[in-house]
Amino acid sequence: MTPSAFAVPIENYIGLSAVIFFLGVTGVIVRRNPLIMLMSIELMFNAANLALITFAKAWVNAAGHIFAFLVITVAAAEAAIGLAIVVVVFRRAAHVDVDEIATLHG
Amino acid sequence: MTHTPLGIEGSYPLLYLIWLLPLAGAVILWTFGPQLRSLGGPVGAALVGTAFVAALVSWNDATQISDKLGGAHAPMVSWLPGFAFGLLFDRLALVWTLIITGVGFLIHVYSIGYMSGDRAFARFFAFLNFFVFAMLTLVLSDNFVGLLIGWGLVGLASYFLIGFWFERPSAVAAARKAFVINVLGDVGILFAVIVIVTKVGSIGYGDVFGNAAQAFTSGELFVVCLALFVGCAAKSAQVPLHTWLPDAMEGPTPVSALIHAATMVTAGVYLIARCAPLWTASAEARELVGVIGALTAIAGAVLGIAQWDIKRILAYSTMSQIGYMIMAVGVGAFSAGVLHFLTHAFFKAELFLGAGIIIHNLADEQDVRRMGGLRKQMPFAFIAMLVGVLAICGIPGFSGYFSKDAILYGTLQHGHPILYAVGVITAGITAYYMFRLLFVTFFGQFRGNVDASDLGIRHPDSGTPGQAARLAHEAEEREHHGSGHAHAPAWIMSAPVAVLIPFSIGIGWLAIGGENSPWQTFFAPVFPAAPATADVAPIPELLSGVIVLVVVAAGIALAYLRYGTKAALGASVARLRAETMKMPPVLVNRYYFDAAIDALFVKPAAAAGRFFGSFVDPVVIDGGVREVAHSATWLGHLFRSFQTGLVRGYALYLVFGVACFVVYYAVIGAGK
Amino acid sequence: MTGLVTALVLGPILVGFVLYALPKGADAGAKWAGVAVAALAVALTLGNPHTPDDSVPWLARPFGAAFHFGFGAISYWIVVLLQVATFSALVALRATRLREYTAQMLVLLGAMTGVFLAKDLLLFALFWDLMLVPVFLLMVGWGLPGGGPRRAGTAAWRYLIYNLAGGLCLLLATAAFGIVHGSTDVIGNPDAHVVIGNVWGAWIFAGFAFAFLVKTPVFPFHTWMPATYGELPPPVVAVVSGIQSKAGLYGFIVIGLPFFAEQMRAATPLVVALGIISLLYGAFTALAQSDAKRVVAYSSLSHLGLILIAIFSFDQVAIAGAVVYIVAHGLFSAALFLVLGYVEEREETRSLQRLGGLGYGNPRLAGALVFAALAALGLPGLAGFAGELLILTGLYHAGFGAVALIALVPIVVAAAYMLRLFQGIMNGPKVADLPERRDLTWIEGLAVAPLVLGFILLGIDPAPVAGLASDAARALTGPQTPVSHRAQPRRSETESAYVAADSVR
Repeated sequence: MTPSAFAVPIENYIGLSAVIFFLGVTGVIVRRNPLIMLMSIELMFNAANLALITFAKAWVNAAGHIFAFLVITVAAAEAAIGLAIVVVVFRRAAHVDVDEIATLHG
Repeated sequence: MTHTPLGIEGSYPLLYLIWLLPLAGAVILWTFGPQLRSLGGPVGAALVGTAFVAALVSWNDATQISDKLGGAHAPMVSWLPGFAFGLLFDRLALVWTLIITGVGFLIHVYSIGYMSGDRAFARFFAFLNFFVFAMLTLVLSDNFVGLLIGWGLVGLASYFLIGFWFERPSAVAAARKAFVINVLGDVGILFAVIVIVTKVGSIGYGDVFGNAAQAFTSGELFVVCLALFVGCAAKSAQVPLHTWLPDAMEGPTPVSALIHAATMVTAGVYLIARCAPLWTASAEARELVGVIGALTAIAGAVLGIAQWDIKRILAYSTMSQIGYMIMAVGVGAFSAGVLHFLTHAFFKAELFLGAGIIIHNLADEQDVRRMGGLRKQMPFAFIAMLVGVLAICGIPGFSGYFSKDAILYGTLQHGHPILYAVGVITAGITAYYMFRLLFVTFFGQFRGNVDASDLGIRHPDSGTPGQAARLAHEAEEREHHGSGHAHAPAWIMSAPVAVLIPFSIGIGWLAIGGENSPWQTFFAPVFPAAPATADVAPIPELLSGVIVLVVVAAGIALAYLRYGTKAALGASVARLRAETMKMPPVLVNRYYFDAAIDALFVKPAAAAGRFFGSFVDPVVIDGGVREVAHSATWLGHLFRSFQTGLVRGYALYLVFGVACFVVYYAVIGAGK
Repeated sequence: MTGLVTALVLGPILVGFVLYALPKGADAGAKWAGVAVAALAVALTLGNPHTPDDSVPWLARPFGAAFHFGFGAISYWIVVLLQVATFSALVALRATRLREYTAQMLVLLGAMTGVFLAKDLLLFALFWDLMLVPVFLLMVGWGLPGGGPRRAGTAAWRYLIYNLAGGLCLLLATAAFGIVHGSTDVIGNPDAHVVIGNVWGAWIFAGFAFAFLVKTPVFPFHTWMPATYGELPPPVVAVVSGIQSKAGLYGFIVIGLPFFAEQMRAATPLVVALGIISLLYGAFTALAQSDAKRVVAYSSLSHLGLILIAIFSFDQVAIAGAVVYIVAHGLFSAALFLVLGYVEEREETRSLQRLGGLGYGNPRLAGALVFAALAALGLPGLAGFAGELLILTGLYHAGFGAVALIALVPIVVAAAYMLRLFQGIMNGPKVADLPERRDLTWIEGLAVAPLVLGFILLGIDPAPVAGLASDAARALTGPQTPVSHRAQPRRSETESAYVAADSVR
């Protein structure tokens, strides 16, 4: 089965997805604010979602859609738990910097 | 009744009786000793006496002749094919059985007196009976493994009896030494057995001797003989494995008489005589055994000169006399060697029992320097010892003359003039130190009340090893039992000695008549004819006898001049002191054999054990294991350093991991 | 009687659990129940030597396995020995928490019976690990640390870690065996036709061999053993040293010889070298120990090294001798440890430097100890000698003449250290500060008697054990050349053991 008709070439979708993903990765690595890091993670999720949807359309396969929904659920759960942790940490330390929350080091 | 290569097979109930009665005695006396109390001795003696009578009654079983060898053969159990066990009662076994049970019975009776009052009276007889059983196992076995079992068990009995007074550290050490050296001998025989089984496929004498010529190369035969001789040397106190025998005198005197003079120590002679077909076939083995025997004979005799302990003098003379026997059977004069065993069993038992009477009456004094003049005090002991001394010196008419003469002439007949010379010199030395014993002990003045240091005795309280401990033990005995060992009638100790006296004189007369003597005729079917290399002796037997007599007379004369003249007897205290002081250290230290064995084997073994136990195990091996355990910890530390706790660091690892995947699939995967 | 063999394995374990469920006060009753179980097991085993196997299919995937127990030519006498030793250990038992103690001993009995009677490799491996548990618990609960309180328990962990490492290798090797061969129901099965390829074979054999060498143990895997034997309570060490240590040797005979002959031959130089080192190392080390139990522990190292060499000689008589020696060693080492336990119980020490002169007041105790010590030093006429003789004969025949010669050295050393042990405890002057206690009681005598009787009877005639083992060994090692190469043809009654082993049975 060949990829079905796209108004915009598929490479553009994938390229955009990759760019967004790397933005997310960079955000997680370089930023120290956990809120921004969480948002960066959301970026990566959405980049993945974009890729999944693109491929689902390209191969006319519903699995991609299903995965996308799964990712959205996970993202929601992750945001809920992550924000809760951030709130707890903020209450204790009055400011949030992930590099200072290193008590779990070996 | 079937004829086997060994003898005539049949059912011989008496044979089992001879063999098992002493065992029954040992078990009964061991188990019910405390209940039997003073009855233990008579019970033990009676069982051995019955065995002796049974052996006499079975005389005809043993002397019957089949096609090859003679005797009664009773097969028993078989472990595996080739490992078949049975009893063999032939002429050789008969001689030994009669001595073991006969002399054994007399010594049992004697022990009733000697050991009376001892706290472990019944246990002593249990061990003695066990010894008789073990010795009978040795001589009645029809195969090498049975012989080895008997060989080990007599060693065990000897161990128990040497260490009978086990609260004395010296006795304990002597017992252990004797046992370990004897195990060394056992191991030699064990090695011979495994070679024999592998080459012949059977342990039975009949199969081994019948097939020896085909089964072994001459080198293997020599190895077998050598290995067997290691056993003989250990058991019969041959150089260099002799060091346990003098120490074994720590045991009660009847034990020294029975085990360490009359019977057990002659087991080596028995083994070589039994294996006569092997020795006849191996010239190298004959050479070796003859030389070792001669060496032992003269080494023992020389050490006999330097002893002061009456039992040790006799112990070294035993060693020397067994050297004679081993030399005889070694060169091939089997019947002469066995004859000397027979005569020696009587006169040496008599000497020991006589010495025992003296020791007993002098409250365990064993140092001859503290005796003297006992001729009048103990005339019976004097007569007994005198007969024994005359017999051992080979005075014509006494038994030792015939057997020693036969041995010495035998060495000439088999072409060993050097061994003959050594034997003759030994005879002279023997005469010297035995008469020295006689003069110092029985003539002159009693020196028991002379201060020990005046006699040159350095440690008066340990004149004999462990004597102090034993005296303390005796004192304690008296406390416990109210009386010492004075409550046995004197006759019970003198009667067995009295029985031995005529035998010490007359048993050698069996050999009168040269080739046609009763002795030679008796053994003619047993021993193979000597190899005809040098059947013609360079000098006639009569001349040989005269030479020996001259040397012996010289020895006696020297002893008389040094110890027996009026002047010597009068100044005996000063002379003995001077002799003690001037004794050459090499003799006092027994040629340093003990020191050498200690330095070469005992100490290194213990040092190796300590090194293994306290260094290799805990440090090297456990240390290695600990290193393995530590390496787990080290790895943990290594991985721990990645665990920074920095979330962004973890994210970086993650990205790195993903990057690795991407690179792998993009670069390497794309190549496929 | 079908089901008997399974009952011998599972019965003691079940009774053990039932004892655990009993109320706390039932100590004496529990002990005698344990004695009764052991005695019944001996009676059933001796009474039904020809019991058929019990086999129930168990696993089909990933490989076939069966719940298969049965008597074998090698295992039969070892199991009898195990049951007798357990009886001896239990009958004169005195301890705190007797109910739990007895229960553990019964679990141990069942688990070890399972090891020796399992005809399935997977079962063998499972029971192999199971038998560690009661020993570990007994050591933790009732151990007698010799070197002060600091060391308490460390020996237990050491025992567990060493043997679990072995057990893990055994399990992996068993699984690999099952996958390669397709079935693990192979022990003692002449129709198994196991062919394991070279690549796999080496690794699988290495797994088995490691487990067996650690269990035996052999230099350099032995250091858990003196520590364990020193710390275990004597009745347990009687069973562990007497029988558990033979599981590895048993494994080499029934698993190594039939399935891994090639690999064993390839490993012979290495294993024989380790055996020789153990032989000498154990003997000399025993000579310098001051802890009585450690003397016996190191002597075990020495003796078991000889058995190992015998198995790797591939010689029929040597292997028959190995089985005789396994049983003999079980009898005398169990007796030795029991008697040393009685001494320790009375005098509250087992240091040879402190003990001495006990023979005076304790003639029966001394008698028991001297018998066991004599059997251990290989006195001709007792069982150890019969085993040694057959082993050495086989070794010499198989071309290991030099090894046989070396193996003679420890026999002499054994005489020295065993007498040192016996004389150090029983002989010499009385030691003033040792408490004077009762001589061997009749019930302790009852405990030691079957063992002593066993090694006397086996020493006089080892044919029941040797004959059975010799036939099995011939089946395992294949036809051999007769012993004698040059001798003339002989009458049948004197034909060599290698030619006509059948006539023994």
